[in-house]
Amino acid sequence: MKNINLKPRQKLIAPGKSNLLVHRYAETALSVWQRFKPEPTYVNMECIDKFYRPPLRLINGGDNVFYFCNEFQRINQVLRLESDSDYPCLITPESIKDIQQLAWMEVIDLIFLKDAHHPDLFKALKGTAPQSVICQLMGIRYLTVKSYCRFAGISQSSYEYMQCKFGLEERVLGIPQNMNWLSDVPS
Amino acid sequence: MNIKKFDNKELKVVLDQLVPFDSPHYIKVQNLIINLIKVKPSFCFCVGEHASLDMPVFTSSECETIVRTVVKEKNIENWAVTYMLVCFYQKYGKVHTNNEAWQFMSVYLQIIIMISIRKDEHSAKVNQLSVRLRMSLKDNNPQSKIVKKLISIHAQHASLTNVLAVLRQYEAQIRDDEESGKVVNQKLAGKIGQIRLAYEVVAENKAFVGKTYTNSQNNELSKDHANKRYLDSTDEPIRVTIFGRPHKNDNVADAENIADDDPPALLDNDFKPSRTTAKSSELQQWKLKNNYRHARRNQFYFPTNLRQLSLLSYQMLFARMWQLFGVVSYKQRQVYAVILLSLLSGRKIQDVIYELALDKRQRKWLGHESGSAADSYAMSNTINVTSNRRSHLLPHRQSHDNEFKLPLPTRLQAVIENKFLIDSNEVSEVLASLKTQLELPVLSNQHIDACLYTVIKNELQEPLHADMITGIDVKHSSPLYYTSIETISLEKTYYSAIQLLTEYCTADSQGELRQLSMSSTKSNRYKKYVGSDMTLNTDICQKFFDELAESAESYNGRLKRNVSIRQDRYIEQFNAYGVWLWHIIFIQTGIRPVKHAPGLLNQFDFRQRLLWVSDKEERHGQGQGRLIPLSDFLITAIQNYIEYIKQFAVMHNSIYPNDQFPINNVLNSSQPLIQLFSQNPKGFADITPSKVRYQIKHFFSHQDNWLRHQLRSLLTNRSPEHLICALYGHEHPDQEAMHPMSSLSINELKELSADLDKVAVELNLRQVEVNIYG
Repeated sequence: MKNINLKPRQKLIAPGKSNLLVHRYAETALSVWQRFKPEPTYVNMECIDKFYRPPLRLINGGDNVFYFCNEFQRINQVLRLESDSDYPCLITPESIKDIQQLAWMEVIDLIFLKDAHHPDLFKALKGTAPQSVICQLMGIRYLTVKSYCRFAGISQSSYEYMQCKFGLEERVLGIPQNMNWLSDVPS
Repeated sequence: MNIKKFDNKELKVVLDQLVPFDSPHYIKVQNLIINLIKVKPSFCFCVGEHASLDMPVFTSSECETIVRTVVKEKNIENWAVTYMLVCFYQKYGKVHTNNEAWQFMSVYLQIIIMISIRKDEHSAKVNQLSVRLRMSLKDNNPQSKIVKKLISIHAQHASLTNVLAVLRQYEAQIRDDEESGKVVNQKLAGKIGQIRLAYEVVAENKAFVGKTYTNSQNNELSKDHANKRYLDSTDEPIRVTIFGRPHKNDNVADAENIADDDPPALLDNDFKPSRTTAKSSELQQWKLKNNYRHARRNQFYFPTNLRQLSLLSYQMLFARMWQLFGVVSYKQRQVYAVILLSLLSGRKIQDVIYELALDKRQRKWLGHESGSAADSYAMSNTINVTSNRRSHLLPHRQSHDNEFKLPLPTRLQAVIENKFLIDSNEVSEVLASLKTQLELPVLSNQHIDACLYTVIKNELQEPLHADMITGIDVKHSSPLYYTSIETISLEKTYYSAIQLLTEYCTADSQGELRQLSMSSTKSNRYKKYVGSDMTLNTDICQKFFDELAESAESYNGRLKRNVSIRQDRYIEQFNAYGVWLWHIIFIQTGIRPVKHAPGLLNQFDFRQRLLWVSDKEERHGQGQGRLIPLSDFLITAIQNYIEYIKQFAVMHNSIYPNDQFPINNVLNSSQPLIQLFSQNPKGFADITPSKVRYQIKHFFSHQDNWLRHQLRSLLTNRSPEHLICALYGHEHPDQEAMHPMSSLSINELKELSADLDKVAVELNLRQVEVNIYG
């Protein structure tokens, strides 16, 4: 595969911390995603030839800097384990609406993880995400608990159960908040 | 007693004073008081006919609002009655005229009103009375006993005189139990006394007697500390330094901080002389003289010291003294008693003369113990420690008291029973004649003064016991502040000293003097430990560390992040771990809880197993800081923590670019090892005692220094005293373990680490397993 022809939109990039940055409009989504991301287990792709690995979709920022806006897990993996060689990428023109949608799609995908923490995730979507983008992606009119649960495929009661469970857990965590233990010890 | 009669107008004036019109719900509260008074009418006074009003009812939310307003407006004193009533209401619920609690409250309010209409200095008692009752309402508070007793007293006795009589009896009994050590001293007697006094004022119309302060001997001694003042408060003498750096960020008693290093400052401390002057011999001499004075104050007591005799001389001296004491004339016997008492108590001859010239009741350290077959005199030694006023901790203190008693020979007791005055010249004459009789090279007052101290310190090698038994002032011996010690060990040391001292006495006298060791004084039997008030029982301490370890481990398997950094459980875990480690470091090193302690990572040397700390103000002309041996347990704990923060930083810093954990600064020793995440201001900050106190504020509150007290008490009598002093930095000037002239080897100091490990075992300390993934 030495004489491979790359189309103008395709490019080989050596990924590194200095030239592969998150796009401005995907920053919030990335930070939310990081807080809810699954355990870092993944398929090892180092053995696959780089042209067979899934390409990254990047945006050219000039000065040899490229921005990413989705595939956070994959980027993480590339930066940590596969940064020794060039990597095939697709360069797309900058379109803010699409960038936002791609980025938030990553967050919405977290809903389907089996140990997703729905109440927190709902709060994060409600509080930090642009509502129009979210509603469009989830195909709903308003983001409510009800519509969230329907989208996630869980019942509202299991959502509430989860809420209570974590609320109760909060009380036994950390340093006790009273001095009752003093009287439990025989003096 | 005449029952006073109130008309409505008069009552209204008093009520307006007790419940001012700007206080919350004042009409309703005044109403409640008027109605309550009628529950037990004519106890102290009667009221004129009032238009019958309904008993007001407070909802629980109303009560809470009132309490919150009172606290928020900082009007606890002005609105004391409102505050007390509402707290009482919260506990005992709606008013029922048959309810004993409310019947008591009716009387209590009548007392308060009677005091308040006097309009004299007694009116301060109104606030006092309400404070007492409010404190008693808390379940965990030892004072809750008082209110229960008060209610039952009022239920059984109908008149004020009867109630007062029972109250006096109750106070006397509690006082007796507390003083003898029969019960844990929770300082209840004084509090009951305040209530009793208020009843007395009403019943017997007592005039106000202010406190008068006499010039006691102690104040005289402190004249050379011109920058110190002594405030006399009810149960704790407070020393105040007028100038100097205030310790803002800790809650340690000032006296304790100052006692640690307290050279009398030169007047021209800040004077920077020119180079030629600085090297002038005059200034050099002045410095030398000052150093010498300071060293002398703390007496080296080397065996070669000219201010003391050899053991043999003391033994001969004592034998001769005791023999003559039995045969000389009545008047002469008193002089001998003074010298003997000084030999047996280690007090200065001057002090003994002063004490014996006082009436029986005024004597300070010669107390007599009644109750046994005959009244017997004993020396009582008081260790002047900071008293613990945290009422939730009182039942859990290790020490019963700060006073212990040592018996005196019966024959001596008979002589000192009544007061008499001896001229110090007579003592000198006796000493001069003894000197020739025994052919001693020297013999003067100071040789007598030093006797017991030298015997215990140099022959029995118990410097700490020597300080305690001879009544050394805490200001001159910092270890006394921190130690809670087994009374029996002090008794044993004293008896061994007597044993040594009486070596050359006749067999009869030996029998007489040594049999003392059989008759342990009554109060000591109740007081297993004496000394520091801050040291807690071992099981409380075990539980404390167990709870802390569990709180750090409780996050394992329950970790989750949140969009808001304030609710991120990873960070809560980080804080809990830091708080645990902070406490572990203090119980394993005994360092002072200063800002940023234990300091930077490069202060730890894990290979040499040493920690370098500088935790107090430096002394003039001495090197900085000291070395502390590290225990195996502590080394493991810190190394685990370092591993943890490395992993924590990797995960944390990638997620929170704005709130970075300064891992590089910590590892490169430019920021303290332990950091805490604080909510306000948001971010990681260097650890300080006040931050730790904030983290555990609901869980446990104690003086910052308490782990230092705890460790000192756990090490005392188990490790060599000079090593403990080196660990704590409590050596006398020029006797430091790391002094250039010191003969102590560093390896000897390191042996302490095994003892520190034993402490870890005794307190059931365990390493926490903190899981950082999920």
